[in-house]
Amino acid sequence: MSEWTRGPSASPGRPDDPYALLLAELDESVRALKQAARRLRHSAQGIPAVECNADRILASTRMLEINISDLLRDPDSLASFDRDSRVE
Amino acid sequence: MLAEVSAPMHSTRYWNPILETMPRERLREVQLRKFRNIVTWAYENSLFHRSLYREAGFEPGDLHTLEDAALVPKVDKSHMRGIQRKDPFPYGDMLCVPLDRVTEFRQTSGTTGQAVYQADTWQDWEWWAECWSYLLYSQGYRAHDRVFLPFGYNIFVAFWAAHYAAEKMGCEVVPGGVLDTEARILKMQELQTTAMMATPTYVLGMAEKARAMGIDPRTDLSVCRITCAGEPGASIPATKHRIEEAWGAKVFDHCGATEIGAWGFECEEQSGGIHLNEGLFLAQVEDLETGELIEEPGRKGRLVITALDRIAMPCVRFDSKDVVEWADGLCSCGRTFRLFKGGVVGRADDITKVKGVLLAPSAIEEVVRSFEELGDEYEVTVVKRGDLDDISLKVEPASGFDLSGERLDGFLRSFKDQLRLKTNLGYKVEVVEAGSLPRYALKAKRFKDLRKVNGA
Repeated sequence: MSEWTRGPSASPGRPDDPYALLLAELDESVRALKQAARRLRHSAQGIPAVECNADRILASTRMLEINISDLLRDPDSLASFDRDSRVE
Repeated sequence: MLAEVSAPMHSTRYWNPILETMPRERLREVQLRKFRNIVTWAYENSLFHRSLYREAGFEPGDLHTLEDAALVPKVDKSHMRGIQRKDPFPYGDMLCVPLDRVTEFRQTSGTTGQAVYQADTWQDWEWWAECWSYLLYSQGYRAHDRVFLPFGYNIFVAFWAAHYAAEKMGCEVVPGGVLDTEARILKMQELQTTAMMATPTYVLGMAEKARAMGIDPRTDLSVCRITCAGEPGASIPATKHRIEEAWGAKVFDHCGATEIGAWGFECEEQSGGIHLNEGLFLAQVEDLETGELIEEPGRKGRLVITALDRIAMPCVRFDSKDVVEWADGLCSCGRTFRLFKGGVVGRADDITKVKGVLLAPSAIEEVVRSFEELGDEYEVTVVKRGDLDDISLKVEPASGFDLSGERLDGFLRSFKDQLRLKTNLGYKVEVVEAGSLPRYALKAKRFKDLRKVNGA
């Protein structure tokens, strides 16, 4: 892994590495957001208003991963949703 | 609290400065990881891809470097046509997600054969808007813009994602859907819209219509920025100049396709090329005849492209048939994304041999639109007479120009000289009555090769 992509342990202030610390901090926020949205989705107990809006948040969160987190590491899945879950 | 960083972060010229200015070697590392991921996704979730790869003796584990990408079998429209209209209906087994995750249907225009159906999940649709956000932001669109979209809002992807991207960026979007051209112009005038997006053909047609209504787009409308797509016009210097003159606005090119996504954009620097969005796409350029990989500038080739994050119907090593040429060096805008010189310079299936000479229709357009005596429309027809190709070109005089008598002779001499210079071919040129050639609302069909129709 290159210094630029090594994430939270990267040292700031390197001339060729202006974004390392910021990237790590943004990534942490993205992860927290994703975790919260997933928790919301799983605890919805079949309430469409919660499930569907949580799905949208997760899709937007995936865009944040593409812009931020994927630059540091591979995502746990390319899909923002559980492939086997159904939308009723 | 977020870390403070030096200069580039505070620049407002990039949608994502981290990705757009990433050092190239690091960008290539990210691309390799993402390419592996999308290939694995396609292999694991689509019977079509799995069969294609296995038949070629390829497994995702074979990918170790970006050079290995060439091991992955290419896909083109003919593959997609072959599997569609079957289960999971109507997309066939290229689909990588359950049908109930598909939220968007679009289809190609079918200009080169049976239309291809395209499925997208909501995540893919967000991704489409993200692609467009990169390009609109690079072209100076901001939240204060009031953007007019004069297109049909129908089953073609066209500017749909542009609408969502402009919304995401905070622009005010005016959908000009079912209005006719006249009503669109009046609405743009009333609302003082500052930007718009359409095909170059339609943008020129709108200007002509506006003038006929007594409205000068340069002074009576407020458009200062136009994004063109769907045709190569905005990267053809004479056409770009003509649109800019007609509208008094800056004109930008954008490249994309239904099966791929919005992969390329001309930035505000307008350095004579379009950026490949290498954060979201991986491109290879292959020699038109040998298939050899082209990495250096100065050689035209066929664009084979992968959308690195599109999941419902992955676009992996798609043979776009677009003809492109790498530019020398990087753009002065500071992005590290490479440029294609002159945008998409043709289509592999449009570039044809006439009288033994390779002809790209865009070269004819460049000449036609560089003559102020001529209107915007033209029509090229190639037929076979005996063993010989015969190429004729119909053009219209521009408003206010009299092309008759000696003026016509002088014009034709100069016009034919330029055509020969730019295309190495001689033409039968006919100046027809203004307004008599077909007008197009979307993609124009100005090049007609009737040699096969003639049965010759």
